Amino acid sequence: MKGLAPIRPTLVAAAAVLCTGLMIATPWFVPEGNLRLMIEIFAVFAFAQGWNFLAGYVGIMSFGQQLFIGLGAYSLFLASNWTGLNPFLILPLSFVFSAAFAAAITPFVFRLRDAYLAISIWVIAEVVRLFISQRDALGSVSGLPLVATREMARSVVATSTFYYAGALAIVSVFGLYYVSVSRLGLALAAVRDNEGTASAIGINVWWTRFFGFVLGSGFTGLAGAVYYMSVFHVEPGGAFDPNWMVVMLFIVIIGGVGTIEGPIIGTAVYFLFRAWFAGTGNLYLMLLGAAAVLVMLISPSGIWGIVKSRLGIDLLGARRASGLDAPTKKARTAS
Amino acid sequence: MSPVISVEGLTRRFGAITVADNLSFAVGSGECLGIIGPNGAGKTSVFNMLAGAVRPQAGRIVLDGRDITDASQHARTLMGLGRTYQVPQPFGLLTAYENVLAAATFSRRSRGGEAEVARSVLVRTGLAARADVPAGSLPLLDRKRLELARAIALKPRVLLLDEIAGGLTEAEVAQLVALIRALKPDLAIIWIEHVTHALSAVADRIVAINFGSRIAEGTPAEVMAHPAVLEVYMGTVLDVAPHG
Ligand SMILES: Nc1ncnc2c1ncn2[C@@H]1O[C@H](COP(=O)(O)OP(=O)(O)O)[C@@H](O)[C@H]1O
Ligand SMILES: [Mg+2]
Repeated sequence: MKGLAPIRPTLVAAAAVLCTGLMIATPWFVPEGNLRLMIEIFAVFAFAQGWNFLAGYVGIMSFGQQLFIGLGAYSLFLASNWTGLNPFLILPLSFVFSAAFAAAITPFVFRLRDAYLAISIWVIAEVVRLFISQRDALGSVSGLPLVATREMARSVVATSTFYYAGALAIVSVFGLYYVSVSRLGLALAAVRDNEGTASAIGINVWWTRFFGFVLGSGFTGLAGAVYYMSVFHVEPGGAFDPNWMVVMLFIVIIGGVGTIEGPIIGTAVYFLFRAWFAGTGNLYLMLLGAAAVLVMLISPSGIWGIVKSRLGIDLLGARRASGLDAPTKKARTAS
Repeated sequence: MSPVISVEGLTRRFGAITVADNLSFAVGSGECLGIIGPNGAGKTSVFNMLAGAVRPQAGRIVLDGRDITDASQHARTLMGLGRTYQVPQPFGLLTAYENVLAAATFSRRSRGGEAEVARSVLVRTGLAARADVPAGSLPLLDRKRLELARAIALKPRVLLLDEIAGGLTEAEVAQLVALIRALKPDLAIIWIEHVTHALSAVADRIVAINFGSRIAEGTPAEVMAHPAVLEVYMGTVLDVAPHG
């Protein structure tokens, strides 16, 4: 892999272009029913990468990211229903609204640390869920339909939603890659690893964490809007369901936190498990739990962590090579 | 010549412990001030106050004529303060190179040349062969070298060094002394060090402190021979090794 390091930027850019091309072509080859499954897979993958970004790249552990799934979905549904505007045109609004909400709660949640911070966001998600459940104007417990899509042709809706979901998946891989190798990515990694030292080298720690949290949460909101747009209906019990958090944790932990490749594997494992065992009721949940525990015991850095250390493959890691001639080969054979 | 950094009446207590008791000193460019004193005297706490990690209860810190007593840590770094930690505090998941690169990147507002700075600093501090190893898996001595490398990569005007010579061989201490001497002409250096012969080789003046108070100040030779210093260190030696 060492030999590929100098041309990696070119390879990644080529892969991004290729994936985008495939994504654009897909609706011509894939039947509508399968498109719907792919939308779901891409949206759930984006949820997982959003959490992975916070936990593995920014260093913020939140157990309440379902808050932003719900906020993204509700902001889109309400804005479209109230104004009658095409939801596909105003979709970016759900990013803006979720990011603004994240920004508004930071002064409170950033006072808390670790487990307290993690749980505080979950508590806020519950409060928002109850708030919506009790207001008829917001659809109360039975939720809201997406009115505007009713008059559109179903195939147009499916294709448009698919493109948004595909864009989420591409950003979840390549967007995360480009952020992680950027100047911002270096600042985030420094803050994640050691806040005191990060301050001591001139990084404004508070604003760096703020920016990371707002960016990651806004992205989760956007993915939430896409997910619920594909099912045409949102209700508070589903959109703010803590089970979303369980799914994100499962995918990221089993795949490998702080890596881009890990959640790709995790998402594949999750949907395969669901396809094979969803009919088995509680056994399915126990299998998910058992698989997560097993992977954690074998490798705390997930399945991709094993691949990386055993095979020395690092496709999309954020490593910046020094270019200094280190006796790497000698050190490897010696150890 | 006006000092680059000066401290007036610095005072701080943690409960019953006094770590700084009305301390004052000033260091100019091209000058090195040594600080000695027994463990727990308050030396590291003085650095924490200079760097902005701990607030003094009284006193003033002035950098380049500007009062920085209330400035944040990162602001002080951008104004030219660079420090090492006595207990290494690297970015554990980042490589040694990335640790130093981050320091070179975020400590100045202008861009360009960061990678070159990081590489040359790693070479100067003897870490070139370890450049691509994650800092968290470096042995202690290399992590201490990385502290120095990261601080140098900040290109500071004031360099705070906290016990960087401990654990080195005689040859390595000589290399370290040569490196700090080479840096010295452009910098104000404050160096806390127990390896007194290394300190004496570089420091122009030494301050000895105990319980946060200055007990002696002068040239290295004067301070090492000062009765108050001898008493403190004799006491320490007798306490630690009564049968020695
Ligand atoms: N943040 C803190 N809170 C409470 N006590 C502290 C803190 N920092 C240092 N101390 C105490 O202050 C004393 C001086 O510590 P330090 O400055 O590290 O001494 P030195 O570097 O001279 O060995 C020690 O007794 C230490 O336990
Ligand atoms: Mg100390």
